[in-house]
Amino acid sequence: MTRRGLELSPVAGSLIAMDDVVIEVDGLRRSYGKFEAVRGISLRILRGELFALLGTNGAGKTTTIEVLEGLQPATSGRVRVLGLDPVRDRAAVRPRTGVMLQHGGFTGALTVRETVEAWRSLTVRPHTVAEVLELVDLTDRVNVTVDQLSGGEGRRLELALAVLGRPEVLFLDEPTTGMDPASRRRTWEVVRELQRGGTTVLLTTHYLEEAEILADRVAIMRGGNLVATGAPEDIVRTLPARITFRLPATEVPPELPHATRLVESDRVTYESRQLQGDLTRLLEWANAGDIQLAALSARPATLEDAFLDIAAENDPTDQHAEPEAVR
Amino acid sequence: MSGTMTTQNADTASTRGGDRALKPIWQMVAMMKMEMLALRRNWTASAMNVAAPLMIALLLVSKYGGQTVPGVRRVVSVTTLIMVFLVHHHLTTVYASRRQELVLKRLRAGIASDRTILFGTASSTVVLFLAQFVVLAVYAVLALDLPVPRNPLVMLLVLLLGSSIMAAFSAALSAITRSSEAAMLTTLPTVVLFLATPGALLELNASPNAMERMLWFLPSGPFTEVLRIGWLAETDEGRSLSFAGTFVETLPSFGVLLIWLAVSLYLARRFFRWEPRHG
Repeated sequence: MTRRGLELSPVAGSLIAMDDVVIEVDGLRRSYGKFEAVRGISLRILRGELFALLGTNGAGKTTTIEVLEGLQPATSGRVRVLGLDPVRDRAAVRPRTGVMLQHGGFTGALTVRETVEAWRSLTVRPHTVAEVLELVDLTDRVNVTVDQLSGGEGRRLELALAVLGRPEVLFLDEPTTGMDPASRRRTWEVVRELQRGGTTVLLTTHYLEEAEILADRVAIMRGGNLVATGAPEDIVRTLPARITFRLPATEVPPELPHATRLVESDRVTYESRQLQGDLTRLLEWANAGDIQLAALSARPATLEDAFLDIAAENDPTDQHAEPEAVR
Repeated sequence: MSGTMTTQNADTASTRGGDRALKPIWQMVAMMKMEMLALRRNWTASAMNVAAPLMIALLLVSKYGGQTVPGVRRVVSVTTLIMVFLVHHHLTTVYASRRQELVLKRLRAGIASDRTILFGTASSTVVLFLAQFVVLAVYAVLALDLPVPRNPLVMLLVLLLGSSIMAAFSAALSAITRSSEAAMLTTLPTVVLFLATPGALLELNASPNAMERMLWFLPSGPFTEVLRIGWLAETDEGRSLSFAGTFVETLPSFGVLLIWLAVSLYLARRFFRWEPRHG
């Protein structure tokens, strides 16, 4: 897997040739009546990059991706895909993009083959039915009607349609939601394969593992805002490591020089900016007092910590967050 | 699987203009095929919406063998019946269910324009309606010994215009229709409006004169009049018309239908929904 480890600073961004910026978002806002789902976000996605948009439900991920797909107009701000306006220049953009919606979009009575055939007629220079079903591992389901497919199979059929036209830019809205682990792995392989072929991918997900494994860069959304953007390891690097253990309530755990301490009954958690030093101090304290630190663990931050830290923070705007799907 | 997954660059994208998938007409054909397949799979809908009206129509015209004027009036009246049930009621359910299934949204994320998607989704029902009219007309001419239509051109024009009006009303009404069951209710007022018109299910000269003149302005009034004049080349009062005369005589009807078309298109544009309402 390629990790480009791109710089986060806008200075680095401005050095990149404009041709290589495939998706450009400047101050995007999108409201439904009084509710503002997206509140002024900006981002740039480069050619060949795999970019993951993370966030809880109602954070504005689907709204953002649907504006980029051209399914919804921006209320204000500027959006460009391949240098074009996805709503105004629809005819020019669509033959070069592939879209996988968050939900369905099939006539259930048709078979898998009939569905792919129909969509081939609506796609420029499409893959053959055999090619694309092989790709998503649905070859043996070709004569089954769509409403008999399992949830994961249905999602893979949608993926097949999204990549049918060899898109330059691929939008995937929660592509692996409802998939079993095998389907999920298959989907990741397909996405990686496409990326190797030069496709730029924007996906939304609430699986952190997925973002961590697949994405070159992630952005975390909360309440319609982007609260962090960068390579997963860079986002993680800004967070403290964690030391946890259990301690009888009679003992008072020590202060550590680079850590904050949280005690919940017998459970002690330190968030440490200098894991090695703090851990040494802790163990010295324990050894000196002959104290047993039960279930001791020390680990660096993960994207999940970052996510929980950033995205799930109490945010007053979340209370009237609408469901993400459709209005 | 590798090797097939290559990305297109911008240069080749612009030289692919000859591709069939980019032509609206072929996009509509693809959507029509999809709808026809769905209809074939859904026997209840097919029987209710496709077979039943034609059967009833054939039964209703069968006693008019050899009676030129009453026969043609009856054929025209059942044609309106078929059109209202198929291109209005049934199409409303089609638009509503394709919206609820997110098929419309998915189509919109593809290369077809909004207009092509609306036309493409309607095309199968319109084609079915035209085919049923042909069956009915052939039956009327061959089995019932009614005269051959004199001006098929104005008839075709008015069938297309009438279908467009019905389809546009369907698009508008589909916005407040959540399922095919709900469509029974939501299209009831329009179905009554379209059928309770002299020439449609009301017999000509059966209502008080002033009322009949007013009701004529409903879409089925001019629609049925053009069909009668086109078929018989004579006015409802029995005045014979030349071929050219049938065009002149039907002009006011076409005028009224164009106004209806404008109204129905305005309503469709104003109310049509591409996605289900949430909550």
